[in-house]
Amino acid sequence: MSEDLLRDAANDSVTAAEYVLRLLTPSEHAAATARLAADPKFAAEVYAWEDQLAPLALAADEAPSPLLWGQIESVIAPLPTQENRGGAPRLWQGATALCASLAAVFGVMLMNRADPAVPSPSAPLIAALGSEAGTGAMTARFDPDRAMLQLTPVTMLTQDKAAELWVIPAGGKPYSLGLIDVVRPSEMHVHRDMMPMMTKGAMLAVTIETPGGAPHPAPNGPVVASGQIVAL
Amino acid sequence: MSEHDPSADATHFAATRADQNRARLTQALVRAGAGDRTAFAEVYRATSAKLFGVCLRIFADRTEAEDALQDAYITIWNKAATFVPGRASPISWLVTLTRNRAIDRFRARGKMAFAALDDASEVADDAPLAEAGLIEAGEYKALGLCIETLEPRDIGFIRAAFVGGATYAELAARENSPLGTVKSRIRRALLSLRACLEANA
Repeated sequence: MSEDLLRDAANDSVTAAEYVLRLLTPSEHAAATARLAADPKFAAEVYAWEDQLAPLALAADEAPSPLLWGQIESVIAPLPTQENRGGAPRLWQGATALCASLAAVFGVMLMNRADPAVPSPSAPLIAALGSEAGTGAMTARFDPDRAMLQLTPVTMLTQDKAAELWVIPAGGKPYSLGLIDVVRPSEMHVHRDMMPMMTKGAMLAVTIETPGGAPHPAPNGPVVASGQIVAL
Repeated sequence: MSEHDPSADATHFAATRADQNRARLTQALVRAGAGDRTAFAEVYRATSAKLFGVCLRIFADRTEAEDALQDAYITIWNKAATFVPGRASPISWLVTLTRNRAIDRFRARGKMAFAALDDASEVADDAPLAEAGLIEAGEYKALGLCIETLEPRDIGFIRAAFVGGATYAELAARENSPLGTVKSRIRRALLSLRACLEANA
């Protein structure tokens, strides 16, 4: 009798090891996962093997890309709002300063073009996009009358992948405005259907995406820069 | 008094240092489990190079390895509350989680791209453990000793399984051996390894 128990215990230990080593077929693996939840002794065997064998998976240390942390953070944390933005890192302050000077320039241009015979133009909206990790900074200026969005990238670290611009209404989900140039200033026409979203309090964000299939229904890649739309 | 042995001091110091690091990492992981993002950043700083090494052993392509690493840390953040300090060392828990996520991603691709078994460097190669300074520090001494009691071919199997994520079926295919034979070999090796680890606990 006790021999059977010893053999069963040994078999369980081997199964636990096979589970940890991922040697089992998918169905065997699923069965063992279920058993993990139900059988504390089996679970203890699995944890013991995990603890013992984990070092085998270690290899020489290698530092990943310095951008990776920012990407991880942007996934686990919500997009920054004006309220929870902490001390401004250098890049963000630069973007703000640039935005302010751009706004001043555009403001002057606007005033010079005013024509009393025409109803006064709608107030432009602006956004200064940045990131605490320093992965991107860009200014945006939206002219509601022409439905034109002017983009001026400052820095965009997109690792040679495509960059997609999103507008996120307050409390809503992201809508794609399409792929954007991350190097040169550009202008894009905003579709009539998207116009209601371009309002104060909405967010603009840039994510890294694969170019195929854009505009995408939802963002897949990490956020490299974001900022709230405000009135000029 | 016997002669003063400086290497014994070094070992003792390293062992104490290892204990301190382990305690610090445990604390950071537990706090991350409570939602502390600064603690999570500390976990990342302390472990990202090690865990990236784990991913690079499974994915030859650096970009894929980084994707797997990002996936791993997001999972670590989501599951940090399930880490039980007494049950496993924090680095084992992190390595296990990272490795499992990486293997899931790897298998989802449907390819078998791991190194050939007859690569001599793979068999009976405990260099990574030594490089990582873990054997000397006494943390994984038992594993290093016990692995060496196995036959080189069995060590190769276990490494291929653990590092490369191969299943019994894949190992049998690579070896051109019947599935039953490979299973018996590895099971015998695991039993022997277990006995040795328990004896040296």
